[in-house]
Amino acid sequence: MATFLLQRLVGLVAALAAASLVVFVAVEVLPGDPARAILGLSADPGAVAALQRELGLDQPAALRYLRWIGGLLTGDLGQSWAYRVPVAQLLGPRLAVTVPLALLALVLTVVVGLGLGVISALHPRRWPDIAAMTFAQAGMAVPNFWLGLVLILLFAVRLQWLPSGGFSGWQQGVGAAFASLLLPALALAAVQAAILARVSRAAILDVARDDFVRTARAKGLAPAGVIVRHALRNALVPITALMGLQFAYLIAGAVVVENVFFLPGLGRFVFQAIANRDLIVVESVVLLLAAMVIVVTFAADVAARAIDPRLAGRQ
Amino acid sequence: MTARLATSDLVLPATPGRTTLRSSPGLWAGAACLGIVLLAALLSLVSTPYPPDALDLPNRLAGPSAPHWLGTDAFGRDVAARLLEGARNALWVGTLAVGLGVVIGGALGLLAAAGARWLDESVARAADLLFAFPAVLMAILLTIVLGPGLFTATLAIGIFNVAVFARLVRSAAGVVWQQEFVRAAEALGKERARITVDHIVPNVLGLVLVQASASFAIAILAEAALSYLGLGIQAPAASWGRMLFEARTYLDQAPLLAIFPGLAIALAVFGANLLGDALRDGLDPRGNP
Repeated sequence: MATFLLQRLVGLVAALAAASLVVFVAVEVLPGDPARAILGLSADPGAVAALQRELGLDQPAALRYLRWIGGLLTGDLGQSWAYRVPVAQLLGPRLAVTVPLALLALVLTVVVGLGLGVISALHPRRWPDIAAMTFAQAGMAVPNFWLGLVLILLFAVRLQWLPSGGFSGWQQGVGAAFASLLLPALALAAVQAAILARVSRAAILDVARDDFVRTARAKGLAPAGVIVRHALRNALVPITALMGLQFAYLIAGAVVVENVFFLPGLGRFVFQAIANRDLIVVESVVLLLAAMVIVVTFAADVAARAIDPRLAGRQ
Repeated sequence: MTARLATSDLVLPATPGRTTLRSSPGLWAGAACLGIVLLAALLSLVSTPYPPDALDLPNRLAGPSAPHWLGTDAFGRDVAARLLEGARNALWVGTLAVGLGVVIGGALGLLAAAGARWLDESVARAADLLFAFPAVLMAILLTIVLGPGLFTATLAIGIFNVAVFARLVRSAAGVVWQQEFVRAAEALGKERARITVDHIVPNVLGLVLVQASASFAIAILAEAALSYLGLGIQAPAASWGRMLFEARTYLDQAPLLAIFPGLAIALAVFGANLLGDALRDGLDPRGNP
């Protein structure tokens, strides 16, 4: 396990470095002048040159990249062009919205998705299975931002149970903040739960054909007990790997859903930064979101390895 | 010739499998859903009830009626006409983005499986890296350089698909390269490029087709999301995602404005997913659980 972990850690660092290169190349090296983009096409050439100097764009790309990376490693993400304060200062309050939103969506995904998957696997081809899988198929076809709008229409406009958007802030109390995040998290979790339900059903049914499950049944264990105690544990390996891969979609979904619900998280922040032409903020937020995906994929990979008794036995 | 016959038996189903595929209700239901969207897209090329961007301000936010079957939006534009144009744009972006993934990603996957170890590793790592940049993140980066629009959206979704298909084809082709008949062809002195064309491609085609259906569904969703965010198709051109964005302001006055485009997206995605499921079950020689 130690060798495996070390290899993966090296891979993780390499992936993060490569992701930073992708972000840097896309924004600062591809054709196009960020200074002109900020000031507009009709800007005075003198002003463009001055801004290029201010942003450090007159220096070689390699030097700019190294300086950026050096700053990232020491926690200095640069200065926001629009807000005139350090980017790191701006990210904190936004992370306090995006991370709880993603976590709440993840919890809803696991509870609903795994629940439906187990129910389906316990009654294959019978009505609970058909109902759960129909729900899953519908969930996969519904865009998260549309579901968001429908939830707003139903629970905020018609029933007036929950806010239609915005974020009250954590200082106003956990209850109010949770109420602001509930509808967005539901909109975000629906697709993920649908996919997880289908995959966990297939994974459990696949394991259910194995000899050890048949033996457990032959010992007289009830089908539900066999599924939960034996099949589900083994099916967790592909399910965990899938959750890691799906996290990229969850993060992408959070960017969209935050804009539907006007939540002041990273997703909304990056769009304001695009409108303000605040390049350093765009770079930092995109890299941060991509880094979250890379780290979670890494964690899921390690977790799948740790919970697979066969792989652990080989070490 | 003998080897060619052997390859097709590996992944392509035998006769009973084909019969199952053809008689699969999912296949026909999926094809029907996508057929409706395709018809709508084709119809928008020939004729729409009104020009999709024609304003009718006295009739703004009107409900469904005889002159406007699905009502009008905040500018008095005909919702039905805009849905038809939206279908064309959605299919266009979906097809281009998936096509980009299949052609470039597929070629990279084949090269990786047939080429040297360093090439294989490079393709695998590059694909892993691109997975960290789903379409929305890539579109944000590309928008800074290229500006928002149909091209940016297609490219952003396409780049992610390149990673999807490169990874899929690389691993599927790797399995086929280990098969006895491929090793035999290699031992007989057949060139690796020739083996790729004759044996590897026919054997990974089924998997690519299944993935293409699933990726098409994801591409339609991504295009709608990007257009909702203002990074995709720009006004006054119609896009289902943009229609939903415009409906957000009038949720309490005209809720139907937020319903129709959502149903259109769901129909297209549902169709592509059903088709993908039916193809996977039908083309899987082991049969479905």
